[in-house]
Amino acid sequence: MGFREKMLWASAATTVVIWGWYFWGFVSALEAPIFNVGAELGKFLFAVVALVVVQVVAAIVLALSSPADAQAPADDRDREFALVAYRAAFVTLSVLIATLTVAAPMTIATAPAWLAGRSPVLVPIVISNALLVSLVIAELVRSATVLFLYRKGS
Amino acid sequence: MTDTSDMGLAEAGVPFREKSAWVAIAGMVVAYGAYFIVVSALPRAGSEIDETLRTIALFGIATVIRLLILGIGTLVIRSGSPADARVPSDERDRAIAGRSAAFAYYVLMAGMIVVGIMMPFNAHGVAITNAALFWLVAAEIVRYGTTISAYRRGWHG
Repeated sequence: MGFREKMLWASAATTVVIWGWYFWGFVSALEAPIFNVGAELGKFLFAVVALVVVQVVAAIVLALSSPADAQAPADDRDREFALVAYRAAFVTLSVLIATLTVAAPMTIATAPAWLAGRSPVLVPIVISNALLVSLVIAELVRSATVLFLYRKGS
Repeated sequence: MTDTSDMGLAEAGVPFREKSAWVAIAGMVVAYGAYFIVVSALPRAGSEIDETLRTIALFGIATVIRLLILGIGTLVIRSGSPADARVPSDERDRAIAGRSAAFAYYVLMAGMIVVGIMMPFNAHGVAITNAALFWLVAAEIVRYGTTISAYRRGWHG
């Protein structure tokens, strides 16, 4: 397995684990009687920092384990796979955001029912988290597409 | 390998895929440009529900206009260069499509980070929705703009 493929696996795994942890906690917080905005913001910032740190550490470890492979520039095959993956990710993200632009007004209109007396500040927070989920899914589609092409092509 | 750009140039002066991109940009700019002008000019509705329903109605109208422009425009350019329209995409077309999608993807990602992280603290729900739509339109314009630029500059990947 090449350096780029290993990096993609590391990136996809950390994305699933760290964002999975954040969104699981967010949904649990939504179900709780009181939503603590500060605590959720803290978890979000922790998730961003953790993602960066873990990926940097993974890149260093993988580069040290196969230095020649890590320094090799991307070849035509790498570039072609990347472009195919960008198309898949862009289509995914566009569809998810287009869906959200229709679903979000519905969410806003029905807010009094599902808020059940909680702060209206939850409405934009829920919408913004839905946008973040879309970004995470699109990035996973990008990684999965390249990994699939590497596996298929190897 | 079939060079569709050369066929297009011979048949109608401009490759079919470039013309398609122009039609797509025209549809986006006319329909959603008008949508954003109307939305920004209208005063806020009396309630959040009224504002939401009005947004959905305007967005629906803009989308229908965009699809009409896209459908009619595609029919017109197809009838102008039917042979070019039937030619399957070649490696260069796919490389251009991938490169355009990559640029658009980064624009959309950046826009969503701004909308999803910064706006919840200073904007209401419909404003966030419209901002997301704006970045979606901007990303599509970048995608089609990159496609047009690649064909015009003779980019070969």
